[in-house]
Amino acid sequence: MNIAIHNLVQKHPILTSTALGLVLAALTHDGHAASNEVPPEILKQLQTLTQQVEQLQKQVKAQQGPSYQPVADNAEFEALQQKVLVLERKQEIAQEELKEQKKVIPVVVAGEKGFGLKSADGKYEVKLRGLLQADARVFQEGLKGQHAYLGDTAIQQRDADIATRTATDNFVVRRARPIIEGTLGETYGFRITPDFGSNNSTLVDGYIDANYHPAAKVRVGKFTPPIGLERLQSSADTKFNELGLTSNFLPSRDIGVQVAGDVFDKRLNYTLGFFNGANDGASGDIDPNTDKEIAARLFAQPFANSPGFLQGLSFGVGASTGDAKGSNGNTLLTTYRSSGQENFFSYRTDTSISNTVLADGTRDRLVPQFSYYNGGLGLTGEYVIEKQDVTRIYGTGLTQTRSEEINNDGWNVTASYLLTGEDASFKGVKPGKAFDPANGGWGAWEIKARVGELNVDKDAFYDTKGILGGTDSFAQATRSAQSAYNWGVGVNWYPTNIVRVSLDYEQTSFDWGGGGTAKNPEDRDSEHVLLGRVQVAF
Amino acid sequence: MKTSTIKKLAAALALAVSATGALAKDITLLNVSYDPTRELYEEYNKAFVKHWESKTGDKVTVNQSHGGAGKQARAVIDGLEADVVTLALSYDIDQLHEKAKLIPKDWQSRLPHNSSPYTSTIVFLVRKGNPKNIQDWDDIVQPGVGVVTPNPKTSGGARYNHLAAWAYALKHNNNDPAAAKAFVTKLYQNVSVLDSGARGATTTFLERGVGDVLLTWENEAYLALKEQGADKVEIVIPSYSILAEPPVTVVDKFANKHGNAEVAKAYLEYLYSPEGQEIAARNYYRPSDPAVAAKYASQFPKLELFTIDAVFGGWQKAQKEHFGDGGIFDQIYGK
Repeated sequence: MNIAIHNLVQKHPILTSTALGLVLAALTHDGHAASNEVPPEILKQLQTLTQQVEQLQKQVKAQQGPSYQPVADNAEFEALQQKVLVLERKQEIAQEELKEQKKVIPVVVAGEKGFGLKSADGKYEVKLRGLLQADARVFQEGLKGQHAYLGDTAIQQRDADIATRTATDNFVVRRARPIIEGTLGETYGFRITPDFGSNNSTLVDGYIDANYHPAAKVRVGKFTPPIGLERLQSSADTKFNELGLTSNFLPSRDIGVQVAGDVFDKRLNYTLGFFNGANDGASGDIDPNTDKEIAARLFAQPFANSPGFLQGLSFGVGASTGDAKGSNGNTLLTTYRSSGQENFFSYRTDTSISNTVLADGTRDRLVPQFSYYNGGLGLTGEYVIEKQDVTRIYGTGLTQTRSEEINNDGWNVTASYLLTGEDASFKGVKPGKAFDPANGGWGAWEIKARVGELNVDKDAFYDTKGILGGTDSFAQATRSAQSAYNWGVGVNWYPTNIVRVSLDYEQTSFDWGGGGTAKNPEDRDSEHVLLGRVQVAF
Repeated sequence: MKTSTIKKLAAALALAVSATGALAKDITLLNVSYDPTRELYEEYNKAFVKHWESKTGDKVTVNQSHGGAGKQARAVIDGLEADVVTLALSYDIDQLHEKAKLIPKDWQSRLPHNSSPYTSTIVFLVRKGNPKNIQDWDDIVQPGVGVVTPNPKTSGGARYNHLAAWAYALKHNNNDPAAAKAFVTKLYQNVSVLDSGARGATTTFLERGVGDVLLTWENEAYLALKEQGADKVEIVIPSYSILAEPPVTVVDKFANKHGNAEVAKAYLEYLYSPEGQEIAARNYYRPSDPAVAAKYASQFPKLELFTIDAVFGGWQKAQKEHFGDGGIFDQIYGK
């Protein structure tokens, strides 16, 4: 080949180098994108040819001197010309094939929003996301929560004190959730979220979406019912590590079907659902109850499309109503927990149907709620009113049954402020500058405060004769507190979009029960807890 | 009385007009075809649209999709909702049944001539003056001859080219497969570029100036001659070549889904009509209708043609041995 090129260059020095130069330029024009698409072996061949020609040109020029005149040799020139044309055409075909392949080759996606695979047209996608929360809970020395007594003698009090001092400092993997979600065409989507945190193995979310229209999206499966605001916020995005007291009254997840949509230019969101009817604070998986629950929510953002002070204001109301009839094996009632995840209220239970309190009738919830975001400021709040029909069989006689409507309520307000200039939102925080001290990046820093209250109906603690903890009462003041008041402060640090480090201090004081003796109930000791968390969410 | 009669007539007329309007349909058909049939179906579609409208009042729009036959078949299997396919060879259409059950197994018996309304063969297109003096298959395997042929993995025409060369070598080497393989190996040693379809190969040869000879469909060669002119290219007819029988069929599943079964069937049947056959002949496809074939006999040179069944035992066998994974083409060119 070198001899042929040598002869050719001798006879057609300008033409040869020009032809090769033009081809090389054509192959590598348009910057990196184009050159990346040229098959490397073709580019290499062409570069080698060009170098050979240039080298030979120099040699020929040196040998022949300035008086050299090329002589025509069509056969050799045409042979080289064919090589160049073939390379050109191969490159053209390669680009055409690449273009075709791009239409069908699935795209691998990897980034802070997860890892996945999607079709070339983007209509089909499977994505793996995740949420991992590693927590530490430290209770203040000597004030570890519950002091509930099982008897009235000094010995009983001592033993019970030791036995019920359950609030322990510990590390816990609060949530460990691999999230598989995807889209199946333009209309359908799904999410599957198991959770292996908190010594559990449960399905948190498992639903199918059918997004027929922005104003009509259907969801079927297991998901958060549309009632409370804080429950609807992603577990990765709630400002405090643990939910406020009001969430005790609201189901975490339920199984059913809902239709939702945005109307009036996205200024009003509606949701209407039909569910099994999960217990307060529970994640319903099995429904032993034939009666179902209807849940609905209207949430308005009247100024969403008008930039200004009120643009970030949203408010609405969620509600649910349904019948729940419990049994000895499943009362359909639940316990209420403090920020330190300690139980501070539960209905009376026993091993038999007698003395066990059951849900028995209507359970209604009404939840006015609001949120406001303006710059780094975030404010959210909700008020929960719950009516729960309960029954207790307190003896063997047919008339020894008491049924009542228990009226509970609670509220909480959470405020947060981003110190580093980012905008607050319902959907988490993206730091303006990721943590990179060498380049002046410190991530996003956020301070926060929360206050809330929860009240259980006092009637639950009295019997029909007005005696505290009497024969047919629904709750024991020695074991359960009637009210809880909570405040907390803390700081969140977001070194990157996917990592969050939080430290919360929460204090919950209890009123009217939770300790002491049956004759002389005392308030449960206040809970002072430091809650630390390192979270990865992608 | 007179006014009343006029009103009644007017009402009847209005009813008739509206009824006609309501019955007439707008129909869209998709014909997924192989690479060099663009011109054929452009002309044929116009004729069919006119024919169907005059017959039924329905307006038909026929969309065309062209590419390498294998690639086109895969596209339909993968969901391209063709009402009809008009491909280069039966193996590719068989795949619509084998892999996706889009058509019945006996699809080829639904229309005359094994569902091939026209035939063709493989010839050589050379540059003006035939500078390499190419006369037959032996000449294109000589060193220094640049041969242009598409990729048989994607192109039906390329598979015909490959098999034609193989059959020629068998014929001249006492049916010795080893000699045939050596012959076809030499041929591919002269091939620098493999396009995905016949039209791409034509572009490589004519517009990009690559190679000394293009192995191509007879219709494609005559079309090139017509468009480029006799001062640019010449057609060389080899002594022996293959009888190409491009078949057609309704893709039942998609045609039914679109409510187009009747018109799709009619679309293909009209290919066998005198007008359809005339159009095929005008586009250099050999018509199956004896009368039209006789009329255009002088247009098509006589040469010895063999069939796939006679030499290779059918398309299924030929496909597996020559173009399947690890087959003869892979052994020669791809691996």
